[in-house]
Amino acid sequence: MQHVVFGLTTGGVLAAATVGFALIRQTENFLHIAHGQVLALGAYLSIILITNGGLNVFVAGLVAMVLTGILGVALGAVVFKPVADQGGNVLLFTSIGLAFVIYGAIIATFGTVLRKVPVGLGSRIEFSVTEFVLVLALAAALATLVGWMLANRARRAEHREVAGTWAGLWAARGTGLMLALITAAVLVTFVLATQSDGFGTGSHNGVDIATSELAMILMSLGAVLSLQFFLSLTRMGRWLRAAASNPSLAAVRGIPVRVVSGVVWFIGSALAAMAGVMIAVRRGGVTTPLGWENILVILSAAVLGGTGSIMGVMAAAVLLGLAMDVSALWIPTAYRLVVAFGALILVLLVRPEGLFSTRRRAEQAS
Amino acid sequence: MRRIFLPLLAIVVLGGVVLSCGDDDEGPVKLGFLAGLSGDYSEWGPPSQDGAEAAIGVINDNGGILGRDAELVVQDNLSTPEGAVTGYNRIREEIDALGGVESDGAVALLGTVAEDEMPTMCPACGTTVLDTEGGNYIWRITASDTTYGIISAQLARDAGYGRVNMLVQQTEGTESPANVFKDVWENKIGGQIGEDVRFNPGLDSYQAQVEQAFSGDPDAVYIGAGPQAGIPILREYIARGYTAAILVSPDLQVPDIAEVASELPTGRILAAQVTDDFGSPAYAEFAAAHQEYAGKPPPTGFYETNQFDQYIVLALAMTAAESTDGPDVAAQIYSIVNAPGTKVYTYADGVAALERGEQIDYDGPSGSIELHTSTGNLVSPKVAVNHIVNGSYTEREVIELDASLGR
Amino acid sequence: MNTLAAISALGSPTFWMSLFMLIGIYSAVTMLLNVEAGWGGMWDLGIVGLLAIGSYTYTIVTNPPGEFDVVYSPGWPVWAGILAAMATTGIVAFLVGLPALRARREYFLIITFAFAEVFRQLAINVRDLTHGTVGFNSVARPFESFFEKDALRGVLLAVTWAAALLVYALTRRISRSGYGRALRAMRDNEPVALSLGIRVSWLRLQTFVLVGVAVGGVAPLYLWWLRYVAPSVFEPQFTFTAWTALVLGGIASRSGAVLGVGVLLLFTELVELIDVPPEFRNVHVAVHPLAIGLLLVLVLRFRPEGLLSERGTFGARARQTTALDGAGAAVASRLRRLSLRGDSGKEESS
Repeated sequence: MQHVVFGLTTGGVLAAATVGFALIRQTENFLHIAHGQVLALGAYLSIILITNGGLNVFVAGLVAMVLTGILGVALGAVVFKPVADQGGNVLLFTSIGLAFVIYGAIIATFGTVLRKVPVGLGSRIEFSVTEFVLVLALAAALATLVGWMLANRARRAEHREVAGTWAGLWAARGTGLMLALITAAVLVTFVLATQSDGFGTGSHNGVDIATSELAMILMSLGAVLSLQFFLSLTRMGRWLRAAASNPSLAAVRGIPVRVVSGVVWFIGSALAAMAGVMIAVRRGGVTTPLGWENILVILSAAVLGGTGSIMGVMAAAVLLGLAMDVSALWIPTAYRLVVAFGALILVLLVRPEGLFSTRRRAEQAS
Repeated sequence: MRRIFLPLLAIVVLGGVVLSCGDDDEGPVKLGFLAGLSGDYSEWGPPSQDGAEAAIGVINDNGGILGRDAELVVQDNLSTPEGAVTGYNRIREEIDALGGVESDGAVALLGTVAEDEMPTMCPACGTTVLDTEGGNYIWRITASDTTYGIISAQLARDAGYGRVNMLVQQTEGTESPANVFKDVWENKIGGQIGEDVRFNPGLDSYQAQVEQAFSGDPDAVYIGAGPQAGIPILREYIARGYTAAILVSPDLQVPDIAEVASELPTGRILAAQVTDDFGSPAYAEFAAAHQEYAGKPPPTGFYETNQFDQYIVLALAMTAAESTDGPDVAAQIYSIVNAPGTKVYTYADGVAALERGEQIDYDGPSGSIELHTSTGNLVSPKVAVNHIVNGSYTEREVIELDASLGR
Repeated sequence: MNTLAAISALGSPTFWMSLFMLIGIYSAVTMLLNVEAGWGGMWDLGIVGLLAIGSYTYTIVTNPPGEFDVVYSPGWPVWAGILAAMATTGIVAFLVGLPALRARREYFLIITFAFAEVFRQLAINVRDLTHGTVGFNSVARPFESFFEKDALRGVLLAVTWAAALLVYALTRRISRSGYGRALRAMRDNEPVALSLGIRVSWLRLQTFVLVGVAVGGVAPLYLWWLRYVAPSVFEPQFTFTAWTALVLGGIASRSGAVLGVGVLLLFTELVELIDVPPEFRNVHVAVHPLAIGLLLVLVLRFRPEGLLSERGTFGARARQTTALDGAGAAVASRLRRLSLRGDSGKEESS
């Protein structure tokens, strides 16, 4: 029961990190391994701002996001742009190189000692099992409503040229996935509620959630939803999707590809920083391997999510988060990574385009 | 291809030719300090080095070793076994003795230092491998993980617990005392182990693991983890309002953890750690030396006194052997630290006594250093129960190890 | 004074012997990586996984019975251990390759990486066989009874470089054979290779297993140097170092791997030797990752063919190719262009 809360928090934070990674993967066409280090940089920046600058965690987080976002734009232009036409593998290895550079810079600047994060987890909100299920159901209903409205609005705003590609399917997929995700979470909750005799021996028998965890889940959801709105409702968002699905066509049609690329780098890096801040608060203390420790899970979530849509990536991240925390009920935690990577390898073999991908369909259609 | 292989070969040959430059008995006596200055043990790195530097300062202020200056050769081992091997290979030729080594490094270097006849001190390694495999060229002047495991079991027994769960990080340093605890608790004391949760470090949260480890209403939970995993685990424990007591492994007895746990009621966390002999005359000298060479009073809980003692012991052994050759020094170690002999607490007293032709028995700030001559382990490490008071570990009482629990 | 202490290590023969043994080992692995990735286009990010399999196999079968508390310890002689390591690694490479080679582009990278990590996790958890996180702290070395320790170091150094030369000779043979040409043809344009009758899947699997067997043979050398086996030894750092060396030396160039390893390891080791005051320790520790990272980024940006390029290895041969050389000729012109496109044949062909 309680594990669903853990999983949702893990998944929420992972979603924020992975969506940025997926956005860059989608528009720049490579696996941005240094994303984990960008995340770590965001975490370290916020810690410095909190401990030395005396800032509130939200303000510090926001400043860290903006700074990291700007750095991301610079990295995109200086490091990746010049090698962009050499193909995905060169970009990937450049990103590995960049990851080592940022990692070294973090060590040189902040040292290898553990940095504590002076931010508490907040007070606990307690639910009974019924209340918790009701809250989840309510959230599911609300999400469905929002998703439906979004899909309608997006469909109307869609340009004819890009409809039929993954961009066109974007909004509709998003709604469906959102619904599936929340339903799955509720189902898992029900199943676990009947099986949780041995667990949940905290101070009471219901479910509790710390305010910090609630804030993380809501902020991640908010960020991903805002991104989804941005992509489907604004002109820049349409440009971005156009550039992602067919860069040469986008350039021919007069879309400012460089500006679009800058926006992608900003959003992607800022989201990484946001995840970094949340991870720092969850951990309560960070050490320099932070970026390496996170990139593998981000990579897994992004690959599972496929290249279809932001919502698909988010669904994959949340499912992975739930799986990692809920699987502890049946599988010894020592085998957690074996299971995670085993699942990843399996998915890649069976469905290499990811769980939620429309690219193959779009390719077949074209 | 010749373009590459030939120069490489040439350099190898050249290296061989330059072979005999480093061998002189005139320069300073070089004492290696091979420790994790970066990586997992970096928390311990700076305080350990301070302790080592203090020893070098004391040695040099008292005439050096055999009239020569002592010099610390610092080498980072990246807190990994591979780093220890490469680090050791870098300095093995120039140093006369080695110190500072942690568990992973000691285990990795065990065969090599014996083969090199390199006197090696292990001031901070608990690994159970050394319970049986040391004694000729490697000595451990701190408690074994076996001691820690037994003492945790003893604390749990004395507190009257019946059912204990375990939450253990899968690294050598944390699993080693945990496995001893489990063995002693189940087989010697007859206690019950409920959940035994093992986890990999480096995660963003350990909520599921904590939930599982505290399930089934245990009286206490044994937590074996490094500080990095320990902080989120303790925060989770506090946030979820668990009430079972916690037995912590030595790695968690550091200031960062005490700070996180400061809001818990005193006695909730049961901790036992090797303790320094604060009352001994050696400690006063150590504290003064630390102040002088590190510019601050010594901390506690970082093996800083053990780091200090290892070099004093090595220097005294060299003095007694009138040589810095490995076999000569190694032959003197037991006669320096074990009874019988004139009890000495400082390097100056030790040297003076040796010059008078007396046999000595050195005890330093880390306490009584008596070593088993077969294994190079401490005969009776001094262990104290610690409580967290006002956000820092505070020593409550020194306790005796129950001999009946020994393995 | 500290700097002087550090410099004096430069005069120590064991320092150089140890360093050159390591360079020899990394060179062998990197040359094999080049066969697989540089020529075969299989960008393997899990080569350390194969090394781990070979290392554990060798150690488990050669450990004297009873020395470690593990279920299987037959105490085989060193030569049998080497053969066992090669065989096991080959079999594992076959089992991994069978499914993994179906994946293309970055998915192959991720799968190999994930497999390596799974092996490491298994080494931690299957403690009855692997001795868990403690690992094995002694490794059987050859000739131990014939030479005293310093001579033994020299002998092992010679053996290592003999092995590296053997690997070099192997890659040289491959590069001049139809097999090597087919490999590169497949890398550059799979549809064309297929149309020329190259059995692409079989060729990929064959290469992956060949590299596996060879890495299994190199693994004991690494252990003779390290003399320790534990899960922490097989972290991804090894793979990244080999890859950086390969990119630096020149991917797809035969001797580039050796040069890249030499330059990289000499540089990072010499940096480690510098003894710095505590206040600069952070910067000092950071130099290693910074150097690897900057080298990768800068080489890929300004000299993507590496210090020695593929042209250096194949330029002369490419001119000699005749129609009978089949696939090699079909793609000869493409070979003269940069080789780093990896699996980008698809985009190019459209």
